[in-house]
Amino acid sequence: MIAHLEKLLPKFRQVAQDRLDRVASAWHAVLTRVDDSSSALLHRELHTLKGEARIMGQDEVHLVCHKLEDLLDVARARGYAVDEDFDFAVDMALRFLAILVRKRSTDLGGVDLPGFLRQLDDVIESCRRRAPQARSSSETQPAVRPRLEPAVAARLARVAVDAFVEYAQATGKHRARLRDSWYAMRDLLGVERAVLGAEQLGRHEAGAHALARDLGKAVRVAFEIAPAEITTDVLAAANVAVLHLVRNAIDHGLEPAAERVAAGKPERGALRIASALRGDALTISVEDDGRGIDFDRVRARAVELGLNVPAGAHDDDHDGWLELLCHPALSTRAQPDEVSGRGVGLAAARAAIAEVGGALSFVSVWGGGTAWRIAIPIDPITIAAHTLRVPNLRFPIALSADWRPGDDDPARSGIVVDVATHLGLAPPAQGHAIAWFTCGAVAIGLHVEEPPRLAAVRRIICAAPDVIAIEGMEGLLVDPIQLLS
Amino acid sequence: MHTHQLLATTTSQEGHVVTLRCAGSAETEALPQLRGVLDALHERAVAGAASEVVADVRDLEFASSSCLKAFVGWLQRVIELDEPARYQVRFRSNPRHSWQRRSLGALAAFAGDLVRIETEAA
Repeated sequence: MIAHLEKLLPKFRQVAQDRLDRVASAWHAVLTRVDDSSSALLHRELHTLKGEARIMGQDEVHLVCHKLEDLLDVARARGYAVDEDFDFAVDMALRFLAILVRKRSTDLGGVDLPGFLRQLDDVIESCRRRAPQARSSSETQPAVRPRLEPAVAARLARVAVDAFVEYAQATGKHRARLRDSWYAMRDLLGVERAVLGAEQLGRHEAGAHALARDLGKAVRVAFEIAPAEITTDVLAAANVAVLHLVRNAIDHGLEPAAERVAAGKPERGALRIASALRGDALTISVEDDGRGIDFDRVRARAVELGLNVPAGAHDDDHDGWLELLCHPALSTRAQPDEVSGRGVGLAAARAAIAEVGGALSFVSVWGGGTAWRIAIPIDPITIAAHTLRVPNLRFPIALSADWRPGDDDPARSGIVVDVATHLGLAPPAQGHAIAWFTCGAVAIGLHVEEPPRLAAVRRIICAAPDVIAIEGMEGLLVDPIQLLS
Repeated sequence: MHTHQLLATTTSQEGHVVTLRCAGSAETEALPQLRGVLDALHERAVAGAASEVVADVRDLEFASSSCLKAFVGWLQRVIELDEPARYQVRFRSNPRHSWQRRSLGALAAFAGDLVRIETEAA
């Protein structure tokens, strides 16, 4: 090694170890909740470490960083919804890097670098085979498990909660058998977490430019994306809907350059895609500054086809006009072309959104453009909750943070509940402390083994009570109102 | 024997070989116990100048990812020992337990020549 680099090596070791600590913290953070800044930090720190290792001639560190970047790219593409084996591989890679960074001689203590890199390759390959992969926006999400009717899934979810409780409370040999049953239910019904962020919706930009180019148009695409933690079902539906709305906007909405200039608009059309979580709903909008919908023409086409024509203006009878616009037979095009004109795009967008309980709406101004809005109700996956250990339960429980903990029953009228007894798992406990919680005028006391702690919990099965993950353990999110009933 | 409701461990020594036997189920809630056992095992092996530690996990039916990470942490400490103090690790495994088929190979890849996996029925 060049002499001046050797002098820098102790400093490199120290800086690299700090970077690894930050990467490990950020990895833990992205597994716990959606957090764009942690994701950015994770990838930035690792990439920087890789670059520094290369400059310092630390080829082994550089190689493992590079492989870990591959691993983290796969995780990011899945919204960090990775299984325990994947997490284990990342943990091993970070420890491996720590060993390499700290070593002061060429003696690696029996470490098999090529073998370890192959191991990481296997994990990446295995994840890519199983995962909802990063794919072009023109594809729909493939089913990675059987899709169940919502009513069937809801009934099975309650069975899954029972399976969890039986397993988690079990001791002895039959615990392993019950674990298998619970894991099978969890695999079938567990919440599959995904992230809707700039990276996911950004995939539509390339498609928009390509389509505009094919049609002799030019478009500027702007994004305003607030990352949202959602399920893979919602992500797939959102992608399908945005795909069709973007194609619809470019094909039907945006005018050719000459027409735009003649109308006093910029030559290049504008398309804006925005998303945000508002309250309990995910909203996505796709807006263009094109010509807007020609309702007179739509009405005339509907009459030709013998369809029901809304009586009022589109803002008076929104649903009627939306129904008409989404009618599979309706197109204001005389002949369908390769892009659209068969009247199926909006129908497909609306159907995809409806499948996850959402709704599609629009506002259009003739000459001014059209704004499509998707609203999908969302149950938050990660929430803040008070976590507790209660007597005679082998697993933790949690209460929503809407409940406020206190030292005593403020109204002196609350009821004390023994959760294990309520669940039919044990006789009432004696001599334990009571933790009080209030929500509005309702107070409840719970026998506890230790004081409650506020933590982020992630829903695994939604069935009231939900099965949740609490800092690496599984437990139940209980509703005090149900406990009181 | 140190027992937990889920995980049971024993440690013994014969000459320069220290043996750890794990049985039961290393669920996440057994993590503090497992960490303590592995810390003590490492200290004993180093203090006693052990040449090998045998981790007999044939009767360990399950290990959560948290507990697997504890094993990785232990191996990391072994790798980072200076050569004279470094000891070999031999896992005695049971292929009937799926976690062992899946995860012990990963541990071996992590620690290279330092770790050997023996597969046999309990």
